[in-house]
Amino acid sequence: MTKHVTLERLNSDQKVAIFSVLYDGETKNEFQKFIEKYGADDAYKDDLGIILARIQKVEMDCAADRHFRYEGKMREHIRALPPNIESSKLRLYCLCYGECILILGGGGIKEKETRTWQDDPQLTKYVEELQKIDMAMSQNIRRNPSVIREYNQLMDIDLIINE
Amino acid sequence: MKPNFMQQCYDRFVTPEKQEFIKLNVEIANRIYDILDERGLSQRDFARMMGKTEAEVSRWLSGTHNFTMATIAAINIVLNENVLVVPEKEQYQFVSLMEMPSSHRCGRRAKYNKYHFEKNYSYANE
Repeated sequence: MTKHVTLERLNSDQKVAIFSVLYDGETKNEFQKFIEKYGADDAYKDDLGIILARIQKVEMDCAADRHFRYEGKMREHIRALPPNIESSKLRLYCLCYGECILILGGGGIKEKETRTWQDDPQLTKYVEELQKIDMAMSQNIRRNPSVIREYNQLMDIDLIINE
Repeated sequence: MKPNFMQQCYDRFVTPEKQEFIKLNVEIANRIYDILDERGLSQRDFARMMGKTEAEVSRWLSGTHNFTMATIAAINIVLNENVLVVPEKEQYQFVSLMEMPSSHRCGRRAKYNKYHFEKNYSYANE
């Protein structure tokens, strides 16, 4: 079974093109949902500020690996923010390609007793969804490598992912 | 496409202090990276030179570490380079003078500042 998703562009004319995942039939992308959920809670506003300040710096600089935490398998492109585990309880999962394309997925709270994302069903769901998108996006880039070179001209990207 | 969405989020949640904090941390980390790169040193070499674990040095270089002056001083010594430069008095005096309206930049003091700056900081024009 397959599913249609759109990678919705969230910025323009920056060193890094930022997208988020919009599922078919939904009106809000995953990053928008993340912002609305944790931005409304005073307990997480500071953590959200840390993540956003980091994305802002990445957008002006480059999406180098050192700005993120590695998640998933090494061959995948899954990363998490913020990079330093002590600084925040909030985790935002994302995909990075060629230091110039950043796809923001969903995220949530990683409790102290949760050692890895696999220990939490909610975080597992976000990472597994990104793994499926990573497969489709990597295939897309293999077929059309100019996507990386011309990243700043990219608009929304349509993908078909395997369920 | 929502081309302004990220900017709206930054405006709402990122305070100027947080932005400056991340900027400074990332720029210090980038500076250390550049020095290591120029000298062909790996993170492992740097960790050994600093007497720290690789994990700790990796955290420094991630750009989210809250550097203490003691750590910066130790890095300066080990790398024999200034990782963080604070302008000397003559430099900021001259810069602040240049920021004044032109009518305030005339006179002997202005001439002295210009001469002193060019004499001591001629590399700035190279």
